Amino acid sequence: MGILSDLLKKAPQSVKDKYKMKIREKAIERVKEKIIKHNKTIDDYSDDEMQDLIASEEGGLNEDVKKGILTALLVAAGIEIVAGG
Amino acid sequence: MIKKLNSFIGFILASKLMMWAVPDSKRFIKGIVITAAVILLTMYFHSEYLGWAEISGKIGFVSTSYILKNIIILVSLIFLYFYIRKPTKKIYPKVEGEEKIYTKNNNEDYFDKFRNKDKLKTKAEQILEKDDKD
Repeated sequence: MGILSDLLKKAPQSVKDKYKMKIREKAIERVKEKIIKHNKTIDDYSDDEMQDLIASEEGGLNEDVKKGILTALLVAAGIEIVAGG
Repeated sequence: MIKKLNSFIGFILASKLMMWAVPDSKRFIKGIVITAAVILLTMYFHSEYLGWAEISGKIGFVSTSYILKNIIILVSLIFLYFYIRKPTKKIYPKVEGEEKIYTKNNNEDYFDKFRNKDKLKTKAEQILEKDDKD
């Protein structure tokens, strides 16, 4: 999480807020999908449990973003090397 | 060739990033593109008209054409201003079969309390917080 949190610290507040909102919304979407998949309803979960589910998904998404950034950087560097050589 | 491909990929990634970071950018870009097209077309047709007027010698409406051209440009810019400023209603993305998870007590608004929270805590963090309070 180090790279991503460092990147977020340097970014302007509006960008940080938008990033958080986007991640939160995606996490909620994933939680909804999970609940649908297991044929449950919202009432089957307490607020704390739901919070835990969304928070876990958020963590997973942040990891995915981190991996995505690293992959993009590596691909860009690879193309640069191929183009240069 | 590879450099061109690289810059093309870079352009696509940058536009994707922009769309992702600023969801309203789609609307912004659409407005800008349409306005630019209208202005460019107006300028093109006006220059065509000027060329035709010069060749044919019919210069009676030249001054009117300038006024019309500038009015069209001004109106399109005003439209763009209001188009960009108009707030869009926040619509959250729907998941297929989402309605099944809602009950009489809870509907779509249920998730708003989690949307509005600054930081969500996992089960472990909640337990740790409880332990700290004890």
